[in-house]
Amino acid sequence: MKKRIIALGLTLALVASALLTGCGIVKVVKIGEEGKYTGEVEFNAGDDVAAIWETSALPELNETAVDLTEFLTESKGDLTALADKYGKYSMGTSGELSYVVKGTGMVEEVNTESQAGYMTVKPDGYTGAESIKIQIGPVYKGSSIRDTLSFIKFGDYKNQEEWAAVSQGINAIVAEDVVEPAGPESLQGKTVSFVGAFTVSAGSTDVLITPAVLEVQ
Amino acid sequence: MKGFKKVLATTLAAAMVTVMAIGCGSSKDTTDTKAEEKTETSDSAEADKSADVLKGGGSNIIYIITPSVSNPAFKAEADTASAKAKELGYEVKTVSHDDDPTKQTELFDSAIADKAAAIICDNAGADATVEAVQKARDAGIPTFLIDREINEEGVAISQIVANNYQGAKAIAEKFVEAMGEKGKYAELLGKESDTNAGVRSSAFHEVIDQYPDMEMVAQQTANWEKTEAYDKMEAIIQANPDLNGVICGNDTMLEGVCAALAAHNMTLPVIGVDGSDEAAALIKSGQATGTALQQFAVIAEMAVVQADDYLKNGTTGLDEKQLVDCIAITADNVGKLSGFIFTE
Repeated sequence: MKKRIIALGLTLALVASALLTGCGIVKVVKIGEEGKYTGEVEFNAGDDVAAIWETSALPELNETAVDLTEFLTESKGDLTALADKYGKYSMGTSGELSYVVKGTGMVEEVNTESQAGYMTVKPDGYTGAESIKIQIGPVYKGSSIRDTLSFIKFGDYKNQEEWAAVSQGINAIVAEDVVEPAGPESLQGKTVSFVGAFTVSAGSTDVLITPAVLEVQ
Repeated sequence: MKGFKKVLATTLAAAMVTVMAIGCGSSKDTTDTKAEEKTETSDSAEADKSADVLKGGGSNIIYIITPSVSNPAFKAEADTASAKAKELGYEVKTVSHDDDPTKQTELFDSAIADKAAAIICDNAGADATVEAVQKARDAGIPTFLIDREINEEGVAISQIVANNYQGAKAIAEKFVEAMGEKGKYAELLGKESDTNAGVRSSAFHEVIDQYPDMEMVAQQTANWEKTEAYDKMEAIIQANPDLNGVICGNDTMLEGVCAALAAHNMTLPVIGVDGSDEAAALIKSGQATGTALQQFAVIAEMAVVQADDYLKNGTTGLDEKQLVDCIAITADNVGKLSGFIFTE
């Protein structure tokens, strides 16, 4: 009888303490929301971008790129004219307008005088007046590539500084993995093929392409 | 004896169970939180949000809370929001927190006490504001943040954010061009407590620091103020007579800088951010290089329309965080700018 009471007491105590310790600790956390419980996860744009570049960004850019010669012919000098057909606005239906383009052309000039270096390219089969430039750094202007990607958006990031860091990360990959291997300083007079993005402002005839692919033919 | 032990054991067991119960549900908050967590795990976040529509405090008043309207940008913002809200049939109270989070909290309390239908707020700090907005939310009042964002999602209904980073970068590129990619420059920073002071400065430097021949010789805060900017600029000119350019966190400081430069018969590349008519005039006269227009009027109107949609339909139909681009204004396009509105 005594043993039974002790056993009962122990069981109750065990059950109670199990419940006690368990209480408030067992909780289902949705995947991706661990940060809410463990504290902020440090954001690292470099890692973030490296994770999307090969697997998502390049395939999408290659797939959506429109032929630059056809694009320029069809736009008849107004770079905003094809916004609905090929472009992506930074704010849905307004803001900065970006396009993804591809093409081949002869490098007419390589400008490394400016830190924001570029080379001018004459696309095969095009005779229009637009000046076509491909950025070769070391300074890269704008955020054209980020702004054309369909699978990331501002709302996914904590604030505008992180959103900007994503673009910096992309431009860093462009500098290291795209432009540098192509050896831009030696490209004058050569034919290159490219895939890249550019952003237009109203009334501008400048096409300043940030390359995602740059290969010497 | 056996009986006593039995009683003791039962009592102890009961006590443990009681402790357990207290430990688990000591406050109503804890149980509520747990219940919410459970629904979150089973339902989608969207379902949760839609179940949680804020009806407004009960009155027909829209509170418009902005930084000091001594800055024409915030005046334009407050005036536009106020006009739109009146047009939509609301009573309006416009107040200023003067970039003081404590004062902002008091103003949110007043809005709650007035049973405001909604709050439109250009806030006084990305972290400090979260609690105030949450308090309004708890009172059933939806908040629509304009211009500046906060470091938390799911508290405000909309955050219509001026893309300071993009704007400051765009105008910094024009500054570097105007400087010929080289030379000595000074920077006047905005008020430290305002997130945008830091955002704009880091955007400027993201661009400028890439140019090895650009050298910053002075960096001081002038707290967004014109007079303070004038005084600071005076001292900077004395110390650096060979200065080649100035970058300013906003247009009121740009005004002070241009006045100080003019007093020394100097004209240098100077940039600001905001897009005020005063800055536009200086760009036209060649005394300033450019500014980044934050579309204050557009943003303010968007917020009021979204507040109205939300109160009527329980949803804005839009993402919480919406980014509104700035427009780089230089001599090339300054003619299209007036009253913080850029007309293509």
